[in-house]
Amino acid sequence: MMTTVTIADLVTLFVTLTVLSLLTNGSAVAAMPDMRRVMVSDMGLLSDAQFTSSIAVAQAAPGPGMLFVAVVGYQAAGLLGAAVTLLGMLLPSTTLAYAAARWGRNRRQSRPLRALKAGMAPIVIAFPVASGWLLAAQTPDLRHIALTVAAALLVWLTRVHMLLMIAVGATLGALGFI
Amino acid sequence: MLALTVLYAQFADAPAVIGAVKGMGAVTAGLFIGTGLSLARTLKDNPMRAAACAFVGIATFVAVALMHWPAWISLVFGAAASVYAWRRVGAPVRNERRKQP
Repeated sequence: MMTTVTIADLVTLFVTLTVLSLLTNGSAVAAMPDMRRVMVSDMGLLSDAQFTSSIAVAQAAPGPGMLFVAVVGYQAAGLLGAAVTLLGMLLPSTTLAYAAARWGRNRRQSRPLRALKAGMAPIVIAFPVASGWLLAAQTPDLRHIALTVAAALLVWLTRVHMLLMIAVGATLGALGFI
Repeated sequence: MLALTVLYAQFADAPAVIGAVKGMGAVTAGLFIGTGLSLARTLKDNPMRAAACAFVGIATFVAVALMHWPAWISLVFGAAASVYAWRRVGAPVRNERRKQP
């Protein structure tokens, strides 16, 4: 399901990603709920299944998981879409991170800065959990959920390698167990 | 990674591929949740005590995951939490200031 993508769409995409970039300095995973809302629900650029598969593909491939924004962009609008989403996500946050690092280096003990870090910490932690929840909620299938719960527990309580878990998930899925 | 994406797009309709992607999606959701949970132990030394941290974290989760509020709401929560944390971080050590002539 791909509607014709216009220049206006690409601009909207870029601006959205830019805003998300500034909002989600903790991790790109936090951008997931909003990207889904804008790109699937509001703009209809790709389907939910395509969005979810983008995240899966990006996690399976080597490299940072935040690259899922490029995969989503690609599925929505080809290479141009991928470039737009990736640039939108990277430019503001890297600029901001650089500026913040320089500013923060001399003021590490300042009370407002420590307060900001302390206040944001639970939020930064809550976001991946929320993203995972939203991802899992796509397919309320019992075996699916069981796999999700198993993976969550393994990550939380053991040191099992993430790639191994992804490989197992892929195999189980390919064999039709999921 | 884009090469992998293009490759995927070619085979996306094969049932085994669809299944594999679904499986990876389920695992990935679990990875996100597990990562968040394992990061929770860094809150041990947070100036806000456990109850406040839990409240902020759960509020954020409910807002984003259950009520589908937009992400910028996290900035609002963050500001409020930071103000609270600011008061808990406490005043700077006053003695050091008074030592200066």
